[in-house]
Amino acid sequence: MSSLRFLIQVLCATVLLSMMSSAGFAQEQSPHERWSDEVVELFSTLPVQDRGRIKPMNSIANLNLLTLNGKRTLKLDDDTKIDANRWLLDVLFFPELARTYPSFRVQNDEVIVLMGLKAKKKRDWYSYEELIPGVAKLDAEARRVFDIEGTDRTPAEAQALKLSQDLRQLENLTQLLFFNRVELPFDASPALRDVFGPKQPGLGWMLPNVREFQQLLGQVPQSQTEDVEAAGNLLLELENSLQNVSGALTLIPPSAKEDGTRDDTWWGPADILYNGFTTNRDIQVQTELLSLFETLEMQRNQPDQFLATLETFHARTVGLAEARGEYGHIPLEVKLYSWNLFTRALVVFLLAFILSCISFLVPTAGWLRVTVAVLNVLGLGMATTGIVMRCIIRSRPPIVSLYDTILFITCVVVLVALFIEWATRQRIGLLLAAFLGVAGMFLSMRYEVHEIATSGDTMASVVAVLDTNYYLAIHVTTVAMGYAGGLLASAIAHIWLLGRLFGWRRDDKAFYTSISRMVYGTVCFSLLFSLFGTIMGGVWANDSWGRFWGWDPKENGALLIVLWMLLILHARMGGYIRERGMANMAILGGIVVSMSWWGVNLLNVGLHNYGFISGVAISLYVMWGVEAVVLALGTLGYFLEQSKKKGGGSAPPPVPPPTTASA
Amino acid sequence: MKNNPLFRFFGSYGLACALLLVLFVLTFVGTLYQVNHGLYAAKQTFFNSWFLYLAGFPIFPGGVLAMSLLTANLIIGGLLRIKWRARNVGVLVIHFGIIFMLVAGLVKLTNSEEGALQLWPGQQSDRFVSLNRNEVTIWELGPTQQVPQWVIDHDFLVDLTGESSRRFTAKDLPFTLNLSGYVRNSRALPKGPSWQASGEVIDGYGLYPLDPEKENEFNVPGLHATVVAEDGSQEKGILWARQEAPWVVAVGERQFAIDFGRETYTMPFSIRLEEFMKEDHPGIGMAKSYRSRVMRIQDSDEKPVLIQMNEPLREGGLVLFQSSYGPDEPGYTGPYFSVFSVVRNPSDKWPEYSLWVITVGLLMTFGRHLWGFLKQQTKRRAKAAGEQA
Repeated sequence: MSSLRFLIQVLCATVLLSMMSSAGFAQEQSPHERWSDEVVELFSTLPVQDRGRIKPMNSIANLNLLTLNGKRTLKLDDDTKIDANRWLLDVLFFPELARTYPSFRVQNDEVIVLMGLKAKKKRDWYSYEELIPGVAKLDAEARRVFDIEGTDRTPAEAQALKLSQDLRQLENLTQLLFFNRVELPFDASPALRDVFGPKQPGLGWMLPNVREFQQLLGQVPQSQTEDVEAAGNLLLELENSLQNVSGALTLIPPSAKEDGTRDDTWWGPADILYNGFTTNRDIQVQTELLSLFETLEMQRNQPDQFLATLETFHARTVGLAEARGEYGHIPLEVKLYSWNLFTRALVVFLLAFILSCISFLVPTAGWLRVTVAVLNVLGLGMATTGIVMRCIIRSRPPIVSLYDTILFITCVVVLVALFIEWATRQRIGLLLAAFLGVAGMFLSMRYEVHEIATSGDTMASVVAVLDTNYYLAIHVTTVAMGYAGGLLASAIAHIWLLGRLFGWRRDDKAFYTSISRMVYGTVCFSLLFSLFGTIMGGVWANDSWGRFWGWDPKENGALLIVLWMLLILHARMGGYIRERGMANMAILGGIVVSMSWWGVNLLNVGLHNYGFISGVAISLYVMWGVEAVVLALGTLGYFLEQSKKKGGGSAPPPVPPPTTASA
Repeated sequence: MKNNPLFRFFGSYGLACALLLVLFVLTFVGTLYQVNHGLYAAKQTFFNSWFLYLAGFPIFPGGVLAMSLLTANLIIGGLLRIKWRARNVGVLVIHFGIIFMLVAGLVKLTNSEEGALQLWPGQQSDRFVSLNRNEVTIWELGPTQQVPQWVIDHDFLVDLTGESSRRFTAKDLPFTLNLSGYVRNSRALPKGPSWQASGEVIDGYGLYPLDPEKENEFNVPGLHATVVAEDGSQEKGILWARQEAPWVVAVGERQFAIDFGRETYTMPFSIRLEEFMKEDHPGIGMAKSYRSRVMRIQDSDEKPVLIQMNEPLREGGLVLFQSSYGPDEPGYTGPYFSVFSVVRNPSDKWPEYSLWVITVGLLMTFGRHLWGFLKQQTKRRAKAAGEQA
């Protein structure tokens, strides 16, 4: 026993130490010589406006790489790994190199065949250079698929559309400094040479001369055809260059509008030039920042100069963002991604689950139970910290998106399971906390990729109707707690049903009665929060849409949970079901919760259109199929038990009929 | 009374379970039904109905019947038959709260009006229009009289499909109006060779039937009308809900206008839109918030009000919500019109009150259960520890 204890303690210590040693920047595992740690740190904390909010470049890098590659790191052909920030640095400053990286994960090789290219494995990684010969066919297919409803697309069609979008995304990033790399005819005529002086790379240098250039355009006599033609060509080529960079990163805080009011929309390089040509805004600071950014590319092969310029650019951009009150949460968001709390929580829960299983083999080892409890609490703490950080970053309650619901529900499930364990000390709560912690964190990681691929962020801006922290905090969180209760009741019911089926603690009637009480308690928990949350949702709808109840699919989904939980409790009180019946109904309750949580979003109808999703139907059907098998096995177990009893066992005690309608 | 079999049946757990199951099935199937038929059709078929019909025969209880029976079950079983003692106080409170909420739903279903009001900046109105209900209005044309004198309600029109028809007469109305051939979604068009009109073609025009839209407000219904004067003379016409002008018929020396369109309701005050404000998330075209600065005008009293998402105006038994805006077109920067949903619902706040009642009851009931469970577990552990010692 002591050797087992020692072995497990060493295992736990090793896992936890290895996790702690990789705290800080996960990127330290995969250094890339081109970019020093100082450069990466400065780059990763640059503020950028993206999808309506200011976020660190670290998030941009992670979100982009996760969208394209499905992971936050990229494995190169020589088996070295680079992290997201180094990948983005290469994409911006060494685009010719980045195009050779196998950045695109293709899930379905049918798309590669459709592009007329040679497929590798069924699922594999491809570089931009490898894919670009087939891009015309891919785009044609993507245009066709675009008109098909998301739910009606085949996996290959969905992959074609995504790959086409991913290729455009990488192109946009690689062309951010496109204007720096093309020769523009600033010296094509004597008049232009007079205005601009000696030609320089980039565009920032010429912005102070824009007014003079515009005056020149107005003054040049039509007879001086060389000057007129050169000026026209310059404008045309400028426009072409800027078209290539439009839609790329907006990383320059804007100047005040012409009427002196604040502009909340940040600028990319093209916006600075556009404002330089078309408005009278004071863009001197922005022009200097553009020049600094251009200089970075010119110094890409001179690490020391690059670092010095990046420091200046960083200091000035951060200073501007701080002055606007928009930098406050950037360091926290960098930490959120760097600490990787949810992945670490997954590892801890997994360790807890393994030890929990062992603890059933060694029931006398109290220290093992304590270890599992500590690990569960540690995992819960990590996940909760991550959720709290996300709340602070967004200044929102815990749940705004579907991804948030997974994290929140997992934490609630683990917390309630630990409470059950504290109350009952049966080890069931510990086992379930660990197992559901693993399942929840794994699901969150899978869905994070899906949500980023469809929304571009897991902390995306919210639609106007959701712009209320009061209802988000009360209605959404309570409904999610109701989901958590229903799922936990279902999980506990699995133990009852499968335990009976496989004869686990066959003669321990008190054990099964205790599990049944746990199911009952969690059903009550689910009903309390589902009912409150559902009616509170109606109160919110009454204030925002003008009606308390509209039979919208999402509302109906919540109502289904309430009705099912009420049915379980009333059927139990009326004596229509006993322990087995309640276990069966609780498992069905889990299916009802999954329908409400995920299923109704797949219908694509109703007012909750901000929550519509696609692409998870198959996973949902698989889950329902598995549950159907569990229920069928449970029924089989029931008949086996009955046949055994008929063969010599004692008959079950009769169920007393209800005498009153009291609870 | 408590031993009356009928009383026991209506207050039984069995009926409660059956009704919960019926409501579950209705909600589930009604939700799926929306995918292909839209919300309005689902509500009419499953939730606002007494029965579900197949080939004209009732085959399953509808939402109204199920909820009515559930209310009766709650009153009898959950309030009257239950033993009134301390441990059941929570359950009594829950049941009372749910009954109150169901009654609120019934009041809303039978006594509410809802519609929309669209205003451009500077525009003022004291009327809102229904999005789901239509009416036929009749008035005599004259130098002064221009308001509807006779109104035929939506409910008397929607069942006039196929061969059904209905005659409408009224005191002082010198003709009978015969209505038939109701089409839920249609276009009134000059009859062409390639399509079959629904009903008779009149003056070269017919009703071109269309498949109903999922969103009911996009349906444009049509009707056939025959005016039969007291002398037996007849005049036929088509009433279409988007017609630009009313149908004018001459009866003897008098002229009457007959119009078909959305039901309109009058508010006890007027609303003037002073300014519509829309704020987008920076850098993307998604609205972060939108709000309307309006003036509520009643007699000579003017009161400035801000209506925005989640913060409606409640006044004079009406609630005005910021619903949407327009035109919602790419690149359009304004000015915008503002759309308000307007609801007259006597039970407006009742569900919220019931929420707090139910929550108190749930906390009392489940709190007591939890306390009992924890005490039981503590005893069990103490006993086990004693046995081990």
